[in-house]
Amino acid sequence: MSHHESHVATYVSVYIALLVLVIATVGVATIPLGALAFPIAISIAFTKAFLIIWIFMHVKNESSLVKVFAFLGIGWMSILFVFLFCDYFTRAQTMADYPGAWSHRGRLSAPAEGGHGHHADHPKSNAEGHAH
Amino acid sequence: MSSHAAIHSPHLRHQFDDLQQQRESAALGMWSFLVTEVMFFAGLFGAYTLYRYWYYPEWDAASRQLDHYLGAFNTFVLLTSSLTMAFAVDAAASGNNRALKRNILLTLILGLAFVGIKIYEYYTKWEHGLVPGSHFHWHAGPGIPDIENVRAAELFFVFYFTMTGIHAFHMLIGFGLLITLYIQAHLNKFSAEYYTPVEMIGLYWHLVDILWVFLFPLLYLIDRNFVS
Repeated sequence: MSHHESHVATYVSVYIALLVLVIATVGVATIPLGALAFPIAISIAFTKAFLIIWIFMHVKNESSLVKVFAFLGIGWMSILFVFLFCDYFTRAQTMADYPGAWSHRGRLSAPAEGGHGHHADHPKSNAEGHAH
Repeated sequence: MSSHAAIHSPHLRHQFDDLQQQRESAALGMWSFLVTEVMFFAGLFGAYTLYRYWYYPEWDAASRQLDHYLGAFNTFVLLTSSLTMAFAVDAAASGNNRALKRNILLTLILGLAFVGIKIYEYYTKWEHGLVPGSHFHWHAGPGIPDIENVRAAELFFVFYFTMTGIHAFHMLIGFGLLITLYIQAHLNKFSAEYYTPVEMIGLYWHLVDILWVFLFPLLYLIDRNFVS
């Protein structure tokens, strides 16, 4: 344990990579990428998280048991998101097969239409009178 | 017991065979705690995802009310504090107490800068009437469209203040931990042989950094294409 190799050079290169990724994530948000924008932004965030976990948090040098625990949280969290997205990614098809399946929920039935037609669903939402 | 006498260290607790086993137990325990933190935020991220789909146009518009340049700068500040924290652990591992103290102090200063900028951001949101409650009102501006369902935008700010507030609270706990570390380092409690507390508090600090890495694009950068 007394012998220690300094990791300063590695830390600085990871830090520079992280800064490049911050600039990339801001850049991506200002370019019109449509449906790709969100997956790209999240992929950049996961890449940054991985670099921090693997290098700054030394998981690279930990035992297998600690490695499993380090990624367990992301694993359990992914169960939540897989099932959330099972719903959202198949909803258009479900609504095509069963018209009106979500109609009683108002806006939930029309997120893909770009915000049209919610006037009838939220008659009390004309609060823009405060704006001016 | 006598078999350990040769390698016995004053830092070794009697329930462990050696310092390496003791350190790995600490790392495993710390990571178990960090997993609970990830799951704690997973609930918030899940609810965020749901409402973002539900009220996408309003959440997109509300996200544009945030200053993404200030958010990016704060990301830079926090990532730099992670670098100095990594340096602190490195200094502790090589028994350099002066460098350890210097890097703990730098990490603390950068953390304070982050929270300072966050307070300034909260203040501007207060000024613009974007704090949820009876004073909440919407005003369109350059690049910020007018919206009908103001309550949906208000809900975005409920999530903004809750998520960044819990994150900032974690930062405040981190300040307390860093100050404790600094005092311990000042009292020469750490050596190249034993610096586990520096490592474990480092893990906590990096986790708080990772949470911000996700909060920043999700809150500030929903969509910055101005189609006006």
